[in-house]
Amino acid sequence: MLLIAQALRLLWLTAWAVLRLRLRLREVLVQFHEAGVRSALFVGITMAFVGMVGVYQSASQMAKVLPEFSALGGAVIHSAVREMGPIMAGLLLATRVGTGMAAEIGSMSVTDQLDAMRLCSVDPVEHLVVPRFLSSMLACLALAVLGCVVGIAAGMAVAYTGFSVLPDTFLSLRFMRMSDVTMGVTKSLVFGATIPLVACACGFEATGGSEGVGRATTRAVTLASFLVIVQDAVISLLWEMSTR
Amino acid sequence: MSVEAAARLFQVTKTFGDHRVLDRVSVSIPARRCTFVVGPSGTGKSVTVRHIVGLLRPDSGEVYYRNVRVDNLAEDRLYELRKRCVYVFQHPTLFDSMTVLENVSLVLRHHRGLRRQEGDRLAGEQLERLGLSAIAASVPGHLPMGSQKMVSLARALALSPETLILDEPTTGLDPYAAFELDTLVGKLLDSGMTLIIISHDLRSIRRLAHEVVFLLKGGVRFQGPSSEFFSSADTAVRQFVAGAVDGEI
Repeated sequence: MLLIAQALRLLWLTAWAVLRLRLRLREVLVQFHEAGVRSALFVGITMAFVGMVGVYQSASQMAKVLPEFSALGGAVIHSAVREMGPIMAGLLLATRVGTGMAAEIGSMSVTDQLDAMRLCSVDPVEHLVVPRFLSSMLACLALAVLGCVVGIAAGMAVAYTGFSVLPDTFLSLRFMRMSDVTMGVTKSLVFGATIPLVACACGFEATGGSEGVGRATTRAVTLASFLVIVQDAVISLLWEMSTR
Repeated sequence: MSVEAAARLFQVTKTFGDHRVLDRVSVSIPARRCTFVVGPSGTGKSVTVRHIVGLLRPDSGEVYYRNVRVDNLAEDRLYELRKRCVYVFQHPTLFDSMTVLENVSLVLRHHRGLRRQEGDRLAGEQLERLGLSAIAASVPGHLPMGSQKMVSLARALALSPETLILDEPTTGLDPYAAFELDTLVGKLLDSGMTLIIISHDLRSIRRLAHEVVFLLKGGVRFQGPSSEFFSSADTAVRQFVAGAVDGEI
């Protein structure tokens, strides 16, 4: 609870810094490269397998009931845009990038570098959190889009080779509405914002040398992943309630 | 004649979790003098001194710097204080993503609102004064500990503070480097700067200290002139000075 409170405090301070345009755009680009560009291959390959397994399992189940696959592609695209793309991007970002952030800031914390920043009149939130916050939001959105494209393409390949579903049939948007895209974008941005806040909060709270850094890293990945899942459920539920 | 106090802690208590590190500690640090804060490891020396620059807030009690109460100041108002009273950590705490020059320039730019070019120029001059120009373009992580500590000191002195706090400055230095550092500290004292030094180094204490504060088990066991410290009849002080194993510490 303490870490969530600290993450919410960081959200407030970060939002205040963003409103005052303390953005450090060059650092945002550096962090985007680290969080987004360098995660692209990892996310792409993972989502390809997720897409393939998802289509194979869905088609196998459908075949037992009614061997008709015209709705397969539409359902897969719908689920990728609303759920799988954002949530997988969020979870992968939490494991790959959240841990790195927590370890980096945790190391700075246990070696007094954060206090040294404060003594230099450098606000650690503006200097460290804001660039990571902005870049992570952009990176999560970009990775979710990439993940959707790769996952759908890989699923389409399995549908064609394994179940003879033609690409034209697979690429059906009949289940899609604009609100599904909005939901996917919203989730990506929320997950992208949550991960650095949690990771930085864990890093700031790190104490006790390398052991403390290790604890902070573990806490960051556990809490960030947990919150991604919980937020996904909450956003989906609220979305459904509001559109009824 | 009473000596003006640079910093003062009054009945300060600080607890981390279940561990009470400071228990109603009252200390007065005289201005333009060299005060050593000493005591066994884990007795709260750094915790005591960090209160002065607002890096820690007391659970109870009051902290003053130049008669201004600082324990209830907002973070942005503490920035003003930290220009005048600079803390140098035990670890060099240099930023590895920057060069030595940029590390020194950073404080100048942030504290004085200088542009990068002007900050770099003044930082270069500061490094030159301390004989560190040759490593200005180096990354701190690649430098030996002694050089890193000197850069850390250069960064602090770039602000021309009225009070300098050094946390275990000679720890990790070879005897020659420690002597060099003591010599520099002596020059700073001559210039009228107030120095607060956390240290275990008895040679430095004998060489530089005007005043000694000896902390033990969360309280002040001794505060007075260094000559009295070394001749104190207090058993814990005598044990500390003698480096004896058996005793209260």
